[in-house]
Amino acid sequence: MKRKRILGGAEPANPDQVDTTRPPKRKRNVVHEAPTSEEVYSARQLRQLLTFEQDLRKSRHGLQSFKDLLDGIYNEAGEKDEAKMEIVVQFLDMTKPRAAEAETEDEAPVYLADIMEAWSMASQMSNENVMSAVAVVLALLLKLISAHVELVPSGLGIARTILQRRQQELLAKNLSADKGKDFIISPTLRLLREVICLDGGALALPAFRARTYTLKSLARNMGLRFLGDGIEDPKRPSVRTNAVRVFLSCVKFIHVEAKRDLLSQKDLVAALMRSLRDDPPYLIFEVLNTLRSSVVLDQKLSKDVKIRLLNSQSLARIASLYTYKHQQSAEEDSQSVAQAAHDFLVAACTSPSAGIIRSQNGYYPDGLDPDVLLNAQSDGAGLLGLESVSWIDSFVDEVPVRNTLLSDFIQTLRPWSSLKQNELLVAILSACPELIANYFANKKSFSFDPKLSATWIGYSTLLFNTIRLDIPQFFGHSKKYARLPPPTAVVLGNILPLPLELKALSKCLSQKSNLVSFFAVRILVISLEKLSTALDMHRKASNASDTMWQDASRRLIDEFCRRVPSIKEVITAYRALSEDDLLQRVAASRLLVLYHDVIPQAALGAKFDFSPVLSAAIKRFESARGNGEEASLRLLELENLFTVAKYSPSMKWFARSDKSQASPFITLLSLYTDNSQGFATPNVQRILGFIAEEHELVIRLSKVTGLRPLLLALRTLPDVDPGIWTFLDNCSDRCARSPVKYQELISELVVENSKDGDGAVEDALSPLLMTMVEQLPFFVSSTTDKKSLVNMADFLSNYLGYTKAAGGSKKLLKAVLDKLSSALGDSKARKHLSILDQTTFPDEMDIDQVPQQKVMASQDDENARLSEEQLQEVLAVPITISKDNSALVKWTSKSPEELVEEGYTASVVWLLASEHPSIRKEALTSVIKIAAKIKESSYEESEQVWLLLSELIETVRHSDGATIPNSLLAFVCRALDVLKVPTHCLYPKLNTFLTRGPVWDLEKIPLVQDILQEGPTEDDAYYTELSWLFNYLLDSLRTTEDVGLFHKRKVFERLFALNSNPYMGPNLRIQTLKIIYRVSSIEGGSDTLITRFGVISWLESQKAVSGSDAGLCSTAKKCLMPTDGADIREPLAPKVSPLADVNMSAPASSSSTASPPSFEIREELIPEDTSFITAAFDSCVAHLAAVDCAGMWGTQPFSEKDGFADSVRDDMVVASERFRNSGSTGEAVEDKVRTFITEARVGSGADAGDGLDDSGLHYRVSDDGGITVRYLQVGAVVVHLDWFPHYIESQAGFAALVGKAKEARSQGAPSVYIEVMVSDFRVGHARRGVGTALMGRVREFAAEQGAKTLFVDSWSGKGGRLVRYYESLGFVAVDDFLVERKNKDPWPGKLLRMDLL
Amino acid sequence: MSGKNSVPSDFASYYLQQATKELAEDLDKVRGADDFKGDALPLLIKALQQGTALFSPADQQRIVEAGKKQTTPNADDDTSSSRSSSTGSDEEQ
Repeated sequence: MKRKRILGGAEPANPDQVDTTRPPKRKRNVVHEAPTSEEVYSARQLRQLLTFEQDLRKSRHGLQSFKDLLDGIYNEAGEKDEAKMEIVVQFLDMTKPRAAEAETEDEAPVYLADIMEAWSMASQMSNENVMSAVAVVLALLLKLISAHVELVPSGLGIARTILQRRQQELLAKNLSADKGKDFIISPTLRLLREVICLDGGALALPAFRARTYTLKSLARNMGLRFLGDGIEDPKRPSVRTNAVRVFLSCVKFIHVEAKRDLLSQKDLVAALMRSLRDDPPYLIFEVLNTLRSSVVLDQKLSKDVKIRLLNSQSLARIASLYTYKHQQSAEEDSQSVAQAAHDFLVAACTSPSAGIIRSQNGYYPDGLDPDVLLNAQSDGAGLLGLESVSWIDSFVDEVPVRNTLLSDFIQTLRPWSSLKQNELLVAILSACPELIANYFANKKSFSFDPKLSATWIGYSTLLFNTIRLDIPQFFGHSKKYARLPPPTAVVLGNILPLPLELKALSKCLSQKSNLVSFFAVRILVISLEKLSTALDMHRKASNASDTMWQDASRRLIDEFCRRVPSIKEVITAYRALSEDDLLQRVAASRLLVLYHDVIPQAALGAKFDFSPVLSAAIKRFESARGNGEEASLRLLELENLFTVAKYSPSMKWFARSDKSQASPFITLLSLYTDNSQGFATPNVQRILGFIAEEHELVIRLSKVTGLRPLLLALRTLPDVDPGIWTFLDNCSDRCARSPVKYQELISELVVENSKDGDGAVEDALSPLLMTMVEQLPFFVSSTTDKKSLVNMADFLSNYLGYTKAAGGSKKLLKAVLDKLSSALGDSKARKHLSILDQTTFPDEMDIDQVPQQKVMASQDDENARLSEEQLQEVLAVPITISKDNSALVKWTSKSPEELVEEGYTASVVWLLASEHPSIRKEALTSVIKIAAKIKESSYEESEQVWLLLSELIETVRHSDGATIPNSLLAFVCRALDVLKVPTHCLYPKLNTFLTRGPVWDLEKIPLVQDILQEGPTEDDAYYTELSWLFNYLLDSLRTTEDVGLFHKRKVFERLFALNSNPYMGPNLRIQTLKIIYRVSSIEGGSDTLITRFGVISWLESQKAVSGSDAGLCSTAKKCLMPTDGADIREPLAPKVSPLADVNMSAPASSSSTASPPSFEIREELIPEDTSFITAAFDSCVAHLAAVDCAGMWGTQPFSEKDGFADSVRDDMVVASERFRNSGSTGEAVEDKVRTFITEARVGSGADAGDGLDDSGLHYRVSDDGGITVRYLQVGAVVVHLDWFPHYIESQAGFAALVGKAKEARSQGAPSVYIEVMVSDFRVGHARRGVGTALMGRVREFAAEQGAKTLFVDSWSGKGGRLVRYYESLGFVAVDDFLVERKNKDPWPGKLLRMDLL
Repeated sequence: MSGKNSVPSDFASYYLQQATKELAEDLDKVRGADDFKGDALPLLIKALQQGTALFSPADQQRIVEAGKKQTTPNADDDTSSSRSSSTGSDEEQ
């Protein structure tokens, strides 16, 4: 049992109780008298003990006993604890002032009156022991109470009592005790903190209001820090710690206004920060966390208040924590002080709402207005160019900024030696770009002189990170490019910060140390990349009126070149690298590329011959061994060198050095063809094309005679024979040496083959091909290996095939083929030589898709970015073979070869499907004659062709006059293509089919089964067979009957199933989509696909599965189903046009036969128009969301927006009627607005209903001369006379334009503004042409009003699709604008105009 | 597919490794410098790694994949296993 415990013993005590009643030992002058106490057993006893008496010693005894009791509750747990707690509860209840008392005395109730009395008396008598004891006991009591919710009312009573005036004075006296009297000050501060924090800060505000007393001497007290060695014991917090906690709890709990008052007290802020560095970690965390959550992140607190706390001194003090010297104890290691300080500073210095950052203009120094020409004669200034701008060359040594606070602060950081400070600085520079140039201009002591030290490395890290920062949009000018470019020195200071000057950089490059030169090279690389971006921005910003921006970019380049080492130094550094320095080689070679790309004037001056460098690199590449990564790096280096060599005029592309086996050109070509390491990048392709064009191997910009057919041919071959490379090497060398010779040969060939009067064909053949023709005989004579010859023949066949597919003249190619054949003589190889039928000629990008899955991934984006119109172009295949009756005559004069190979037979065959019986008859006769003619001829494949045609003839004869399905005709035509090339993979299958029987079943589609069900005849030919089949099926689809037949023969099911084959290439997939697209263009086709085959969900799944043609799938879907499923039952919708949606201006498919519905324009508006226009808006929202254009009008239906319908009624419907009638009423109308409605007549008489129908579409019924007529409401346009929307008028950029329009108006030439043009997307195809119809009326209206100009604005998001639509209507873009919106990204728009004659 | 996100970090670690190899001699010298203390090592690592910014994402992928091909001795095995896992696990039971 503890009795009469003496306080201050060695026992472990609660941190809050220990230090207080007894002063520290070193204060010897204080007479210390140990207090007495006794154990408390009941509340009554406690009350007795605390009863106020004049004898303060007794008071002290009572207080000490109470304190022991409270300590007991903290230190002991279990039953005893509860018993003690019970005593406290009873005591509080007993001493609670009675309500009656308070009322009668008209004074606030006083809790614990006895204690307060004792306190007051002690204070008067200056009995410090009791003064301290009261504070200790009250603080402990409140602390206990705040942990027990049920006691809080009593606690609030006590706290309020403490905040009464009498007690405030006592508090103040305690707080302002002498410096050494920690034992009084500390408990009082703790008491104060408990009062402020009690019940979630309920009394914080009253406590703060009484700050003259409650916060008395707070600043001084915050300065009374622990003075011993190391840091203070957390169990014995110093006065400072307690005082800081009082301050923090105020900051935490008082409201904004009070917080402003508090933070405005400079002495407090200064006292808080002054000795932060010496504070214990836990206090620092408290300070930083509270300041962050209650000041920095407090949105309500204004910036100017925050800045009072976060002033430059505070920032410096917090930054000093980066080097916090005290050790942290183990349990606190969750976060280091340095890290906490770092997080705080990053948040405070980079978040715009934190108050430190001030708005700034990026690369434009403070005080400049780049939209204003300073020169007085501003008219002439434009002509004088940049010279007239006085400040353009200033700001070299000094860059004024708005963020002076940050500018000063960052100078104090040590980014070269501390990672975190490095990060902080970069974060600040990134958030506040104006500081970049400023920082380096001020930091003169920096020098980049190379030195292999940690400081130099830290420093180069900083420079690297700084250069990597993005250039702010518009160089920091708001919303658009300014009239004048930013000062050259500032831009350069961002691209190549000052310490990077010529001397230092040159020294770095010539350093022996690889690390130093490597780092310098890397910095130069990103610097040049940034320069390139900056120059691009200059280009974008430049306008036609003057050359300011062009001048600026020239200056920039000049200045830049003056500061970077010459390319010779770079080359020297590159050459000094050892063979295994792969990263360094890649970086240095990349730098060489950038020199040529970005600052060619500096690069080309060197006149360096890259041939030896390149051949050395090729040799290294070929002989190198290493892991995959190393090989890739070598390849990258090589690619860079090839790019550089491209620029080098003295490069010998075709010369074969002794060391390497082939010329550089052929090496590059073979690397490209091989592509095992991903060398086939578009960049390499460009280089190859460039070299070939430069040396006139091929014709520039020509599809037929360009390099692509050759590249395709080489890529098609599974393996390129070494002989072919040698041959190509030889040919390219010869051709490059005397291109004229081969061009003459081509001319001769053209002349020889133009007897029929075809005329000479420009760029008929590539000189390289001609060289091959000339050289082949030598190759044949020198080659004994038959296999090589066969390979050569294969290669040439492919080459010819691709040339033909690219659109080459058949006749000339035939001539070339003849020459090549004769060169091959009678060898086996000759049989392999032909013009291969390359049905597809992939576009620029496709070339890499086929062999390499990997490249496709990067092209997905490419595809996704295509506009839908383009996608539709991909899918729409017009029915090419025309039913030209003249074919019946033409064929007679042709030779059998021509009949088969030039398609004359095919055109006659197609006439068998003519709608005129006489023509069909005639065609049949012709086919019979053709068959006979071919059979008798010496044509190689005469037998097979005759058989095919005869079976066709028999089938027609057996059909008893029924029309022959297009599928059979398409089959015959496609079969002819197979028969003329015996090596075709389908040749065997076709012959098997032909020998099956003399007559074909009209109900069957030939060969579908054979191709889809049976395996391919040749192993790798499955996909070739499929491709042939798809083309033939596509040709077959022409009429509803064809769709029916496909349906019956289950072709669609098979097609759909095929697409789930993951190995099917993108081209084949597109072919199936083309078929679907074609079906949708046939009447009833969409219905069949949607209702019978669920094509919509199929397309959905395709979209999900195949990344690359997802866009195509969704487009195809839209063609099939313009609105929703219900639409296909809508009788009025002409289903023939697949293109009606998405874009009204898209050209109709060639197969479309229905004319667009004729619209009527209604002038007179009716009340129902309000709901129609609102509904039309809603349908647009849904449609825009579906085509991924929600950025235009959001996703919320307009009908759900407050007041929208009202504004439609008032501003569009009623206002329009008012203006329309103003002529007759004579009323002066201010809003000259007109709304026109387009409607389509859809029925009359009995079936005409009114208003809405089931689908929600709007109809109007009118009485037309006794007949009821029903009109479908389709679209509306709202136009204004002499009006601009406020978001246009308020744009500074349009001020001149608006002004001009006003001027024109005063001269009697008003302008018309199209406010909005909408159509109801739910009506489906009936929308077609609505835009044109509305525009027609708008033009009329403009003419009626004498207007000369039409304006419209358009959303310019999503690549400006809508803008293009308006352009298709005849509008011309004026300029872009941005509409700022609250809490949203700005709305991008474009203003367009149309000048009327 | 899951490997796609790891390309930058895979590349960064390869880059660091390669750079350390190429610059071994100089790095030793730097470590011996007077001012090499405190944050110097993390700063040095960061400095080396910065260089990854010189490689486009496509190049990074190329290099990382070339490295992977090397480590899996038979590239065909790799693809076939991924195929079978996508066709279903029934076969494996």
